[in-house]
Amino acid sequence: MLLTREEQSMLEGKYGEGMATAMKVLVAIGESFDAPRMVEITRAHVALSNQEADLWFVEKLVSGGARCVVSPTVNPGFNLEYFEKVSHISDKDTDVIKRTRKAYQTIGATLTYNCTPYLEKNIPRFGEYTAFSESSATPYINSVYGARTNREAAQSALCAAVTGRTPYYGYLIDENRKGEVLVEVEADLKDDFDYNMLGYCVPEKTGVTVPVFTGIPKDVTPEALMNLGAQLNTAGAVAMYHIVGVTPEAQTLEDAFHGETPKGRVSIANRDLQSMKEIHSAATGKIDFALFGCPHFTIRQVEQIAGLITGKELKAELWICTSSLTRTLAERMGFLQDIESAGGHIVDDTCIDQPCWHHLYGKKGVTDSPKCAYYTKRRNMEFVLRNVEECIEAVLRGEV
Amino acid sequence: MFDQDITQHGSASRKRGGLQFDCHKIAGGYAVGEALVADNDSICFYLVDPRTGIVIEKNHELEGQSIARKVLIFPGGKGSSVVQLDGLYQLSLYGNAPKAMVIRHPETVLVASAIIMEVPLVDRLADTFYKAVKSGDQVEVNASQGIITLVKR
Repeated sequence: MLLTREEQSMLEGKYGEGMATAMKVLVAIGESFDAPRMVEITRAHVALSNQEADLWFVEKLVSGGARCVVSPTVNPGFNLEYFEKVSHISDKDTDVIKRTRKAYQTIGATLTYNCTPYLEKNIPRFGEYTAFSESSATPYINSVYGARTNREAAQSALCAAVTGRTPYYGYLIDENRKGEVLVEVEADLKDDFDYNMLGYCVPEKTGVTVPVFTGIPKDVTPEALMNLGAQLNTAGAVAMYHIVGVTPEAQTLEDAFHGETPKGRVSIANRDLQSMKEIHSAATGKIDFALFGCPHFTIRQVEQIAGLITGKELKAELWICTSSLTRTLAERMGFLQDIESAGGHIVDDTCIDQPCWHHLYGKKGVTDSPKCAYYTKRRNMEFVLRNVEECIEAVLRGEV
Repeated sequence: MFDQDITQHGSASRKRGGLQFDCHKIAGGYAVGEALVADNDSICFYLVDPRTGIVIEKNHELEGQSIARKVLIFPGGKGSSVVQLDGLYQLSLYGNAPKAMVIRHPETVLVASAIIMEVPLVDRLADTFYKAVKSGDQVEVNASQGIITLVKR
């Protein structure tokens, strides 16, 4: 791999050991993908996870003196101050989150603690070179904005933020952004939840590829696109897609495939969405809670829930994870009071896959997010998958 | 610094009683161990119990089997941008990480995780390798030199 003199200096430790480690990781990645050189990035998003490995690596860079050249936005861990009020947080978990916050602050991250940076605070332009980790973020900025990122690991994105560089390969290159498999959506896409099911069932049929969708309407919501990308990437490591007539690199079918013939063609019917829901859903019955916000809910989604529960009393716990901006908006707009009066919570800066949820371990809940159901298996949490309205009916009745 | 000498469809040759195959280094290193093969399913190391190395993902072709200290041969990684590193990190803490990994489809998350955790990782094996290798065979992975040696059980 050809490095500039500056990049070579970074690698050789002129800017400290932390910078050298970051560059070493990027060079190894670049060489494994036959990247000819590095490119400079202008944005990054790091999927901070508050897990031990995350903390170990960021502290390693920090103690080596690394500071970010491009300040990245970051994912949520959990809101320690909120959960201390409503639950018990162990000394160990308190220590880890405090150290995680401190390390990311020291390395120079922008502490957004939000997994939908592409909707607020870190919105790239068309064609911009970036390094975005976080499974809903990568496909969103590649596909919906036409910005350029590979499917970064949290740590490779952090190395990119520290050095201001990323290897030139994969989805940074025009040729690799062309569509590969045509996905004709025949299913009725009735609400944002159906896009969760759509995203989850496509990779099984197409493999890891760039899918090109037809049959998705022009007025598709940001929430639906957020869901689609999150689940494509969770179920099958899909980092970019096109929607004919909607996304910028697919004004026509020809555009999407760069004038070539699709390698394959699949269609998605209502029964495919239905069977996804059944396969990935726990058995129905009594439920203890509803958990939303994987990815973080938007103000529109918070508004929908407030509308469904205002003046009612919940029979099970209700938790909505969102950004601090959305929570502030919810407070200003009265939705927070509506939801809290019914017995629900809106918690900001928090991910569904964190130790703060220990009081829900071994219990069954409802969610609209297959990604939420998938990653919480390690925490022994069980989920019935339903759309938002059905989830709310379930918390009002205590069963589904 | 391209690995020009390593071809995409490297040839197999017989050596010291084992079949030898060319491969492409992703994360360097050397390991010998028992093969565990997943033909179709990608692996998310977060859904592996770190204390036992047993795959807990529902309906996975390796569900219930242990990947601990195996030479793991599988299509590639999947899962969000944080879970692979933590999965491998936790497995390493318990001494249950795979000894080496052989994949068909490299993607950045697994590649970065293997490089950071220093687990040897290679790709670009010939189809003859996949036809020959079965779970239980002994596999020597010399990632740094781009050579895999297979001894049938």
